[in-house]
Amino acid sequence: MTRFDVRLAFRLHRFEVIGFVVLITLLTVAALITAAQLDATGYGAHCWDGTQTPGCEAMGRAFWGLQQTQAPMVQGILVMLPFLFGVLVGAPLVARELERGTSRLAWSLAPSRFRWYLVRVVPGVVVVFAFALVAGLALDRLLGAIEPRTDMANAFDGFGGRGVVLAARATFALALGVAIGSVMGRVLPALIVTAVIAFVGIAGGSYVHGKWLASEAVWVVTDTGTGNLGDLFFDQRVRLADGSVMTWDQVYAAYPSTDASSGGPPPGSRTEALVVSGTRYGFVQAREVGALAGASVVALGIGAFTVGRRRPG
Amino acid sequence: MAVALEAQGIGKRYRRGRPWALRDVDLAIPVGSITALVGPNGAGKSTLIKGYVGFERPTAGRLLVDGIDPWRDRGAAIRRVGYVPQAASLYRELSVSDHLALAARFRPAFDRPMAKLRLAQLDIPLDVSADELSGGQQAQVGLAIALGTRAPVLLLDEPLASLDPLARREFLHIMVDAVRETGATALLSSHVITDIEQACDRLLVLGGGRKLLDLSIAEARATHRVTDEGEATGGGRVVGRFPGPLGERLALVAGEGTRGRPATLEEIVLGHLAAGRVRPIQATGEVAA
Repeated sequence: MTRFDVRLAFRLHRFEVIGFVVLITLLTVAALITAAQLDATGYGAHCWDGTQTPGCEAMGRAFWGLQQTQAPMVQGILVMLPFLFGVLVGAPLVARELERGTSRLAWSLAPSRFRWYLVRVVPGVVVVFAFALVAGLALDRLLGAIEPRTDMANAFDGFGGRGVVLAARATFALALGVAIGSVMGRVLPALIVTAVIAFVGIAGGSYVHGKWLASEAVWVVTDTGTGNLGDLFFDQRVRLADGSVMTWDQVYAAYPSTDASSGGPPPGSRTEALVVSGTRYGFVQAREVGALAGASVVALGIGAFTVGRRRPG
Repeated sequence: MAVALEAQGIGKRYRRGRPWALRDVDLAIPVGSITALVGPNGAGKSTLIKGYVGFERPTAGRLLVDGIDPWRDRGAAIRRVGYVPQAASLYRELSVSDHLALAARFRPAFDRPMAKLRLAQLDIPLDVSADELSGGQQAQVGLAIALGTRAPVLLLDEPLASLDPLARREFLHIMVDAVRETGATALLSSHVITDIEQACDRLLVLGGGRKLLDLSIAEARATHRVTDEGEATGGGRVVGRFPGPLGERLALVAGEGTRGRPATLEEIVLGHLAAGRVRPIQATGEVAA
């Protein structure tokens, strides 16, 4: 891989690359500014833990104002960009050459199509992963500011929509686009099919991973009833004073509201939460990134195999 | 006779149940020759050339480039081939100079100075992007790249199709000069018989996926004559009948002691295509699509 290869790959896809790099950069800056603005309100843990300072109300107004308007808007756009970047760079990477027929020239010159493929794909993978990671880290920072009490390195808040997982998902979308583009050889159909399959694949993968995580969850007793801050919450139940366990439906059936009582669990009951501890976030994140990396390698392998066997369009 | 391009019982069918694009074709194109590959659309010309570049996998038989099967060892076969596709296939985002750099990137032996010189002689600027070039200039860039590879075999897949007569002549002139200079072998497919007449020394006619004629142009001229239909043919046999430019019926006759006037290359091709009954044909200098 030489500078010429990188320059060539860039020139062939400069519009989508420049467009997304500019957008991601702008949104990243916006996310960091929003995070700094949230921090600057001074609305921190001391305003929640009962030892409120006199300024907490004003700080809270400023904080919640940002947290409910500007922050979700920046987060909502920035979280989608890496995925779209992956699709819009990945699908045309090979498909455009097949559609325009430039692959005929390139493949008649290149003794190894695999090398040609690498020269096309590697710069795409690097630029999409790098900028998606920048976006993911900016979102880490933004979510940390939105939830100042939570240690984002040990929290499932925004899982999949921040950090390295976001970059892995964008890279998976790119790899899928490369494979589909190699098979279809047409840019627009490849873009549409990639967007649909990547979305379904990521959503399906998240669903399966969620089920897997649910099987790893444990019951804990916490004041909040939903686990500690940063835990991944699945379910809640009530442990009565005699040690028996009930769901909330069972509790309200057994202890209905009456004129004399508002119903609910009897005194001495405790709420238990089914959670995956936030301390497992790093491991779970690594596992999802590993799975996405594996899927990406398989998709890129399919692309390489197809390029090696197919007609040049 | 050393052979540069070989076909052994080659057959190609794109899908099961579809007609054969090529069927039972045996070829041996000698080193140093410039062979015109002629036939109507669907005759199998592009399929044959793409097979040599490793773009199409034969359904039956095998192709050899310098003794190498492109489907078994594509890398080695590609290194021996310079290919000019039907459409120039240039990257419109890249300059001409970038294309030469790209070629050099893939082929370390690429002769960039020679390619630049050829393009400079044609007043084709190196710093303009490919989409700013005319069709003829794009074809010349494609040819310069193919020649710059210094490959011993040149495969030209109807590169003249979209060129005006002057550009066609210029293209052929450069191609022939380069091939003669390097001793390379060229296989040039074209519809335009009159243009390739001067450039080529061998004639290969395909029709309906089959080989209809394969011999040197000198031999073809020496052994074929044309008579009006119904006229005595002497000792020759009638190869095929076809309409003349004025609508008259002509017959292509081959063999010893044949009567009639000498056949032009176009008439030889038309007569053999008529014999193969591959397509309706017309004597306009082009094989009808």
